[in-house]
Order: sequence, then structure tokens, then C-alpha cells
Amino acid sequence: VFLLVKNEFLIQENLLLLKILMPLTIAVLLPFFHGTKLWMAKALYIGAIFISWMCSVTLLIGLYTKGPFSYYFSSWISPWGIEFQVGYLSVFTSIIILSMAFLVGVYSLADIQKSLETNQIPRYYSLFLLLVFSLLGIALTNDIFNLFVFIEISTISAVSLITIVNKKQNIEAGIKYLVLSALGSGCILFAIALIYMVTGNLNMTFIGAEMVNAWQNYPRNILAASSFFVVGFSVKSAIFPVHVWLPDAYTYAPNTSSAILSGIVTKTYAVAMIKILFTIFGVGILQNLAIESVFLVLASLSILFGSVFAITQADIKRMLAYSSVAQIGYVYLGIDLANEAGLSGALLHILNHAIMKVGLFLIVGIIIHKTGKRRIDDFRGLGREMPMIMFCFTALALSMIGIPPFSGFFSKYYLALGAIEANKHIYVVVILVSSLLNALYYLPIIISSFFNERDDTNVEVIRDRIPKTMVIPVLILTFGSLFFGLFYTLPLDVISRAVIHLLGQGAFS
Amino acid sequence: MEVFRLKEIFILSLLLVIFIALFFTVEEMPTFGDVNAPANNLVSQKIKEEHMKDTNSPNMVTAIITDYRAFDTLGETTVLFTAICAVVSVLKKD
Repeated sequence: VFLLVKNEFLIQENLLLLKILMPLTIAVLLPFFHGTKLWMAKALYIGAIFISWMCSVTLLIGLYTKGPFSYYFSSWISPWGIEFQVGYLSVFTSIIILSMAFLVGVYSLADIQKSLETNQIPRYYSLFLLLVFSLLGIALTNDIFNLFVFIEISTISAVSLITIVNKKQNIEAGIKYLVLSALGSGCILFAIALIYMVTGNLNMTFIGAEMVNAWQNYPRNILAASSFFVVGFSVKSAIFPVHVWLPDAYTYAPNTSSAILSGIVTKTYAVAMIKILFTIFGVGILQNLAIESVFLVLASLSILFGSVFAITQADIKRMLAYSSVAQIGYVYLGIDLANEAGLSGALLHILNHAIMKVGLFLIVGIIIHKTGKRRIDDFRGLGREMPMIMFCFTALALSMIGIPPFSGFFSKYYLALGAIEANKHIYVVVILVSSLLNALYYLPIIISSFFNERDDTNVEVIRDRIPKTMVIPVLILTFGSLFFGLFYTLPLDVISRAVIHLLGQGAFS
Repeated sequence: MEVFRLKEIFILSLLLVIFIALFFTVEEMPTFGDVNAPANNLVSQKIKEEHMKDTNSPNMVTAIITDYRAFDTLGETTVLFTAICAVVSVLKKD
């Protein structure tokens, strides 16, 4: 006998399931598409991501009209089953993930044959979709063991997006990434075990409720658990002392992999860290543990050393890789300031950095694709050969430095506001110094590409021969950087609603 | 040679600090099988008492991995699939 229960979130629940299971289903099917059906593999990838993206946007609209809701798998309610929370933070993150995956997918239509053998392409898209599936899971889940399962999938698929090119340096970079990332996973699993032992729950909301009791009875276990979380997520997001896997991985990976790894993978781990710090531990215990002052120092070191290392690089992709270390430092700086402006800055920077860094990696991909140049010295006079591409590069680089009309300025502005609000003025200096360092390594490239003449005089414009599918994503990202700079209040509205929940002033996400 | 020595001493002292910290952590843990341990709460009690009624599975572990937390199991099988895909993409040449 079926009882018809009126569920006002029925449509949204089905959209949520479609959104998360679409990439998984297509990923399982894709390895069967060999050689001749290559266009079908590409179409399936683009279609799956697009449907997921549509679902996400509909969920965001539903969030504004009906409010947030929880979905329980197999109908086992919260402490027993697994809960997916559709709140502002998770929908915001999943829209970023899917937009970037879609744009990189469109770009890869023309680029992928250059960097991979034909028979590897369906496997590449399959692993790519598995990565997207796991990142969506990390963004949506409210259960720490479920979070760990998704972290495992994302680790393996992210490594294989680097090692799929069968070259010696790729395998070496992949093994380095795999070993360090597995160490991080181990730390996270140990922390989850400790948390379960002292609270008896796996659901984040319920752990948060039990935490006050546990903090009185088992303070040392909670300190150990938080330290393991910090170490684990630092390794995965490449914070300064444990960033060593990142430069090789980003330099040798295919351009589309570098873009996606830098733009969304490390940032999604930062979102997981936000959920753990603010839902499980809460601001009060975090201040008692003094974990955030340790983390603030690590984030600052990451910002400064990432920029300093980036200045000394000769290879453009390696320079962008070190720049990513610096940018993830900004995100963690905002998280650990633990106030409204700082956290808003961190979340805004997750969006802005995804746009800027994916755009820059794709532009560098076009330059390597067309001219084969990847040394920064060879960029002299490139602005005359491909004016439109270098114009996009200039816009995104200015956004990276933090020049006002572009979006990069506003995240840095909110981070600085957060540092002032927390009465930690030294971090304002860190942000300013790092912006100067950013200018030191981006401006010379722009100047030499537009104003320096090359020795050989037969310079020709090769703009027309770049495939349209490669140029359009770059143009969209450049426009996006300008758009979110002029209308920065649009993402900030979603972010501020998420932040209010995280800092414990609202009832529910 | 001198630098190498210093590095070893640094690593050993770091390991010693971690050992001491973990020793005091383990010392504080609830005893194994303790009735008052936080893990013995409403969550595990309900599963222990009602798993037969809820899932029709006489085995408690089966009830948890294939019903209460079935989505985790889907995730774990996806981990295996991802690992196979990754290995094939590295090893298979044709």
C-alpha cells in the first residue's frame, strides 16, 4: 500500500539525484566507446555536464523560492542514513565545479587530440566525469564518512588525469601526487575515526551538537583529530610546506587537466575544510584549539613563498602552478580569519580564482597548441601574433594582480576587511605584498608580449586558425572575470547567506 | 655530511613530538567495549535492536552496508571502478 505523502521538495530531490548520478552513469558507459565513436564520447560528456549544470541552476532558483532542504538516501533519516544538504554553500560550489567542467570540456573538443592518443580519449572523459562526480559529492554531503569516500574517488581520478599521458615525467609527477595525497587521505580517515569515537555520530550536524560534551571529556582526542584534518587537507590543497607535488603535476599534465586541477579540485577540498571546521568544531572550539592561528601562519607562508617561487620560473605552466599555491593561501587565510568578511572573501576567491586560473591555463594551452612556446622568454612579440588571446591573458592577469574593474580585486578587498575586523593587521600587509609580487611576475609577460619586437620581422597574425571551440571558453571566462568584477554583489548574495549559516547565526543552511 | 646529520636529528625529534602527542591521545580514549563510551548511543542501539525489522537482514553488517549506508557502498564500488580505469589508462597501449 503506497501512502501519498505530500513532499514539497519532490522535484528538487529528483533534480539533485539526476545532477549527482548523471556524471557517474555516463562515466561508467564511456570506456566502451572506442576509436570510431569518438564524437559520441565527446557529446555524451558535454551532455552529461550540461544536464547536471541545468539541475544545479534550477536548484539555486528553488533555494531562493523554497529555501534549503536535506535529502536522505534510502529514506533513513539523519543519524542513521546518509544526508545530502542542498544549502547555499553546496549549490554555489557545485555550480562553480560544473561551469568550469563544461567550459574545459568545450575547450577539450579540439585540444584533446593534440595531447592524448586517440584510444585514451574515452578513458580520459570517463575519469574526468568521475572526478566531477566526486567533487559534487564532496560539496553536497553532510556525512563525514561519505565525504571520505568521495575524497578517495577524487584522489585516484585526479592522479590518473596526470598519468594518462604515457611519458616518464608524467608518471613521476603522478606517483609523487599519489603518495602524498594518500598520506593526506590517511590523516583524514584517522581524524574521522577519532571524531566518531568521541561523538558517536557520522552526520556533521549531529557531531556539531555532541561536540560540546566531547570537548569536556576528550579534549586531547579532539585536538589530535583537528590536527589530522588540518594536515590532510593541507596536503590535498597544496599549502606551503606540503605543496611539493603540485608544480610537477600541473606542468606535465595535459592543459585541460591542469586547468581543472588548479581551478576546482584544490578549491573543493577547501570547501570540505570549511564544512568540517565550522559545522563540526564550531567557532568557539576553534578559538580554544588555537588551530586557526597556526593555519593563518601557514596560509601567509603559502601566499608569500608561492609568489616568490613563481617569479623565478622560466616555464609558464610552472609559474601558473606556483601562483596556484599562493592563491589557495588566500582562500585558507579567509577561512581561518573565521569572521563574516574573511569567510566571504574566501568563498568569493574560490569563484574568482576558478575563473582566472582556468582561463589562464586555457590561454597558455592555446599558445602551446599553436606556437609550441612555453618558456616565458619566448613570449616576446606574441601580442602581435595573437592579439585577441593575449588581450584575454592581460585581462585575467590584471584580475589576478587585483586591479579594480576585474573580479580579483573584490575577493582581496574582502579578505583585507576580514583581517582588519579580526584585528590582525599584519595579514593586510601580507595581501598587499603578495599583490605586488603578483604584479612582478605577470606584468613583464604582458609588457614583453605587446611592446617588445621579436628579432625576426615576418610576424603574422594567426588568430584565425585557432579553433572556435578553444577561443569561446576563454572569451566567456574573460567576460566572466569582468562581469563578476562589475556585479560582485551577485555571488556575494549567495555567499553571505552561506556564511550566516556557517558562523552559526542562522537555523539552517 | 654535517647537514645530513642535522636533518636526521630534526626528523627524529619531530617524530618524538608526534609520538608523545599521540601517546597522550591514546591514553585518553574511552576503553574498548565500555558501556558509557560515546559511540554506544542512540544511533548504534537502534541499529542493533531494529535492524531485523527495518531491513529483514539477520546480519547487522549486511544491514548497514547494503541498506542504512548503501550510498557509501556505491561510492566504494566507484572507487574500484576509478582505480581500474586509472590502471588501464596507464598500462593499456592499444
